Amino acid sequence: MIQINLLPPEYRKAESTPIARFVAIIAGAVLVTSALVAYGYVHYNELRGVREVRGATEAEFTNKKLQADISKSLQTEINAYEARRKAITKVASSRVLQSRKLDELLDVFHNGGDKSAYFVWLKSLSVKPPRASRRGKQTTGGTISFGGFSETIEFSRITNLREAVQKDTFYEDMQGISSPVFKAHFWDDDKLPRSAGKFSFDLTLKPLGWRRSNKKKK
Amino acid sequence: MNRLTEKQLLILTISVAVVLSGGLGFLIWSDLKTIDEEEGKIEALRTQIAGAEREVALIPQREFRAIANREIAAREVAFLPELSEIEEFWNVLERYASESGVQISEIAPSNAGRRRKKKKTSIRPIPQVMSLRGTADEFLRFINAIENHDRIINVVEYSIKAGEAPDSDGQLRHGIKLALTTFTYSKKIASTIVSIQKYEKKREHARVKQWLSRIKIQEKESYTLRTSLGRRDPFVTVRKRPVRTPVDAGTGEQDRARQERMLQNLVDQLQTLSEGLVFQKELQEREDLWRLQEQIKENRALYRQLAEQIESARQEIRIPELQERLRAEVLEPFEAIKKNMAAIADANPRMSEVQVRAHYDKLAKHFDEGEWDLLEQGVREFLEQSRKGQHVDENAKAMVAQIYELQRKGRVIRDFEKRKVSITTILYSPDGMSVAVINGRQLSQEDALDPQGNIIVAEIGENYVIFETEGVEIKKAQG
Repeated sequence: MIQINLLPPEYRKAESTPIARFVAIIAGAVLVTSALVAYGYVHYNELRGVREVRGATEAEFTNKKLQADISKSLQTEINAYEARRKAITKVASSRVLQSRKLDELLDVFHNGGDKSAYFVWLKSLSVKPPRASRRGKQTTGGTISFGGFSETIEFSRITNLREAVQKDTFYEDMQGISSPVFKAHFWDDDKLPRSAGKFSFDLTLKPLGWRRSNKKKK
Repeated sequence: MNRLTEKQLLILTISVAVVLSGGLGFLIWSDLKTIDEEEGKIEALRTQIAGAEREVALIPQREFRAIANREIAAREVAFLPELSEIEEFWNVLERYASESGVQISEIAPSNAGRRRKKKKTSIRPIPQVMSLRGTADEFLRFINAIENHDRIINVVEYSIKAGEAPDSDGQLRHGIKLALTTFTYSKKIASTIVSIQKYEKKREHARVKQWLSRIKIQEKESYTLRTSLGRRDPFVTVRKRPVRTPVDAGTGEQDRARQERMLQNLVDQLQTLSEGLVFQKELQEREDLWRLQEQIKENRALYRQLAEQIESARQEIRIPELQERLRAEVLEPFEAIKKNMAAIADANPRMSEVQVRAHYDKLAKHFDEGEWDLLEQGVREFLEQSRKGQHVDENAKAMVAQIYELQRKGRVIRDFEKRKVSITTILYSPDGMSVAVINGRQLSQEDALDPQGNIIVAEIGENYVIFETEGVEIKKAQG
């Protein structure tokens, strides 16, 4: 049946929105609104909050770092003192009191004025430091060498001198003494004596700081 | 415009909704990603903070250790000269040479060790080589004085070649080559020195004392020479031309006169030596240590000369009557003198408490009047006379420490004065919030004057400021 609405438009009943479109509009509105709310929450709450936390953490880190730098500077200073202390110990312990060794040796040569065992006069005396070693510890503390003449050409006088050197406190710092080099020597001038025994000795010192090492071992 | 159909409207509605929500969804996703990144950065910062906190937790212990090291630093390096004192080195050598009798013919810096590249250390060796002339005893006393010097000087190597002919004074001196090394250090221990708050209070803490007890101060070894009276110089050759004696065994008039002159000379010299020994004893009783050293040196030289002349006289005096006089007037008294000299040489002259106090009072006066050069000179003289404070009576040892302290404080104040500190303005506040303008900078209490933090403003008064550095307080007036 064909229906014709003869009422003027202003009196006609309004047509309702189609269901599909209505549902689509409502669903769309809900979706967009939810998304807006979610975005607002995430952006203005969460993100801002996290950024504030990061700012505070950075400030805390800057402060802690300043203090940590102070702590490291203190440790650097302490390390520098320790290094200087080690260097000073090395300087002090790598020292041979040459005046003591020479004093002791001169007493050996003089032998209290007693000439019966030996009587010598020297041409030269030299003291040399140990050679610098590139690897490991030094094996000696240097050398003492001397040479001269013995009053007689009897070899026993030189062995007596060698024994006296070895028995004296002077020898405590020595590692070893060479075998005597000896030769009868004659002069052709008007001075006396006209003959003497020419000799020389080399002594090797113990490594520097051996006394300190011994004390530590005890 | 044609109206859209229902279907088109539906599609449009759905599209708009999808586009809008999709756009918002993208923004949300982007923000969530940013949040993740920020959280990652926060985590990294927290890890770094934890590391920094571990370092910060060590500050108290490190402060105590640093304080202990700073307190002991001056004593540790006591035997090392500062760079500025190296110039004294040559004056010291010259003085010891003069006192011992050796003659310096050449001094030059050594090239030893320059070829090898050495690691940079806080302590730098300064080598020297020298050429000398002297007897064995003179050389021994020279190197002994060097090795006993209050600043470390090492005798590295030497060689002695026996002299050939005596000098104009009759002494046979030998050619000596000597290599020495001294060491110096830089006072600047590190590029940054941290200023420690409440330093004075923390210095008294038990932990600092514990660290101080652990640190061993390296002592410099020294040696006292043995008595060498009558000891022969082994470098002097015994080969001599035989003495020509007249055929009639020295009974000729000329020869008798010569022998008598020789004998009288020995008697006179013996008399001079006896008088010298009496004077030496007087000086010892008076405790005039400075002149005593000189007199001992003179007596020893005369004794040695007399011993040699007596040896010659024994062979040359042949007349029996003169030989008898030689025995009675020379040999017997000489034996007595020999024992006497040995006894005096073994005695150890020590400075009494009164003498040490006199030195201290004199040095304190120089300190109070700011006469730093005189203070240094006075301390040096005291240390020489008392063998670095060792040869003093037991009850004077505390005063020796006070003398060292005066020297240290004097040096600190002298270094401070070199800085030319100027206090232009003081804004005084009784509640401790005073401020002063010092060298153009505004400083308050506990601020550091220098970048290294070695000099702290301890107190600001109405018209003065008290600075604290190396444990010494220095008051400076405004202006």
